[in-house]
Amino acid sequence: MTLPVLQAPLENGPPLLDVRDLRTYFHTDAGDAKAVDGVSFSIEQGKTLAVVGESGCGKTVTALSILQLIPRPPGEFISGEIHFAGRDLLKSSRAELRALRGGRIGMIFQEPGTSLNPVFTIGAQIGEAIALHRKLPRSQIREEVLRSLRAVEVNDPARRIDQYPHEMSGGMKQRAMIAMALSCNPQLLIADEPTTAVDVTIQARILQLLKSIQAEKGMAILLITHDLGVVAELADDVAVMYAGKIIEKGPVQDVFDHPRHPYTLGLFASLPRIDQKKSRLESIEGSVPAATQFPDGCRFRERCRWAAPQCAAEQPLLPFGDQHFVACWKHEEIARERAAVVELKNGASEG
Amino acid sequence: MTHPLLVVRDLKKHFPVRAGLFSRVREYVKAVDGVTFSLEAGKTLGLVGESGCGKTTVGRTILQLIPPTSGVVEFEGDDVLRLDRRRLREKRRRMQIVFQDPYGSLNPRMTVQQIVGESLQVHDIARGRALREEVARLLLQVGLRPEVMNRYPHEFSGGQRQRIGVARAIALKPAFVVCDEPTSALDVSIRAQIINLLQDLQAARGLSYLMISHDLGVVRHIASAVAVMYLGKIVEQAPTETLYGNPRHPYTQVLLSAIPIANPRLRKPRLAQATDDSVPSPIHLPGGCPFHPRCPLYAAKGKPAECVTQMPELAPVASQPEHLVRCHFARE
Repeated sequence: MTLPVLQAPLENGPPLLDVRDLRTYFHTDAGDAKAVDGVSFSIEQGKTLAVVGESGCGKTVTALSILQLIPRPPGEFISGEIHFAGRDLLKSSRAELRALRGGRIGMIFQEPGTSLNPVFTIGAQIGEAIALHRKLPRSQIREEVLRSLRAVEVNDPARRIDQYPHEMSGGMKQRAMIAMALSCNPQLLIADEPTTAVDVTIQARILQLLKSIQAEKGMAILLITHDLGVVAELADDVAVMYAGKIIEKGPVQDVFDHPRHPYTLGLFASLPRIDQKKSRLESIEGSVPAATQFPDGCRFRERCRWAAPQCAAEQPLLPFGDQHFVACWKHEEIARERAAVVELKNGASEG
Repeated sequence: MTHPLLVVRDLKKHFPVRAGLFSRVREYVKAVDGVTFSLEAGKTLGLVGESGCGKTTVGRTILQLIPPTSGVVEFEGDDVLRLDRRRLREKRRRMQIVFQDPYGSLNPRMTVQQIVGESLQVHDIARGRALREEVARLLLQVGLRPEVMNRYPHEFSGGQRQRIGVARAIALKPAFVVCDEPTSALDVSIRAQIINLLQDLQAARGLSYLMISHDLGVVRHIASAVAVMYLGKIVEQAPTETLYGNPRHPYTQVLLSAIPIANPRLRKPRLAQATDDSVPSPIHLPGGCPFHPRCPLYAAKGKPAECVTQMPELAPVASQPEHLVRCHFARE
């Protein structure tokens, strides 16, 4: 078998990453947990797609599925294709996947504290990735590690390189993780909640760093987060997940300006903001159903105040406008109703 | 003027660090180092800051869950730190706490009825049927069905557990509740439910809250005044709208401009940035103002000597007695 040629796609060529109808289930005693259930999205070279959602919505399983870091069993890929730079990762051999992981696809995990090995120095851990993927002579590896630490703005890299993870702060550890993920110049960076475990001032620095490295190297980023602020800051496109499905996706400005799915609307309304004072937060009643007990049809319908009998039927993710997609039977009706309410309010405040 | 419900004066908590032979105390972590504020009945003070700034320790020392090193905590006119055990126990009915972690803070071997009703029993307020009825009433108030009272914590979601934690806190009809990151472990949609619940209870019962949080959005929403902590000290304190609208202290400015706003149009260059990311150790605090090694204003002013040698006072901004700032230069 000949391998597909690995080269950067041309302008307007196929997207760098194209995920189609991915279904990752976990077989449990309580039944099948449909953690990811028919998810499709793509990312162009140099762009950032944010997958946003609450705990248990399937966003992390989506990210882990791409590199097949899902334990099987209990996990199983029921269906789907994951095309990366022209080949289907779900059909790739172990050796091919191993070459990709940490090489052309880098990954940053949420907890820098637990994803670094406590008994090796930072330098040894970053060097391992470089030695594995770039086949450099030993003498050059240390130089490369220093270069990658400098690239993530680590102060005093010559000292840090010989430190162990416990000698570093959370923000510094996350930088070391990023240095490791970027040390082999990946085309795609998967960042799973990269700033959730660090303080806001450090978060701001790390987001800025990711942006500037992306601008310089042109890599694509798949950003997994629960924080709509981080999405607004970094993403070009956003996909909102609920209960294993993408229920809305589109360019970030479109989705933030005109959210259409009742769940997306609810998320925005329930967010306390530092840039505005709300008298009362709107909350979404109820809670997310367990992954083994998702209802038929629209999985949000039990919490949705617009739910109607038709919502018992599965609703596909359909486009409206150019690139904005929503999976709701009633989104047009809801948008009209909301527009009418806004008009009423404006009328009332003028009158 | 009415007397404030709670007055905290020069509160300090220094934790000893033991090291070496015979575990001698060599040094102290100054987790809380001279904190002063007051809280009116029915109001909410937000206490914000990053990890390790001492905000949680402030909450716990006020309730005497950990004894403070020094300072005064006056609650309803009494100095809580100088009460005997019996009077302190009486006082504790009036001051309660909601913890951050709804998983770790509920005993997994107790039923909801035992968890919520325990304090009512301890203080001999209700027994038997009356106790069950009171627990049922409390559960209804926090939005849970009374039928759940025989269940165990693991049967509930995070949001529901936090409701149980709130029911436990209000069982003794307190006047003051410390809310220590009550929504940090919860998802966005659930977070709003709990914030609304806290606000409803405040309106219905005239509760006062000390809202400890690193989430400046939540604090803006719920607090009437805000205090910002850095390395054991309050560096700025003001009514909520003043603090968010016109932050004076360089640290507050750095903190506020670091928060990503959920609107891509407001993607902005960071106005204020710390000049260094590493927070100094609370054992070896830098001299003078503890923020000076990271302070953009210190750098912009050409590194003035007083920032390194003198701890600035927490003093009002000219013509705004309610807006306090601990900085040599930010009050002008």
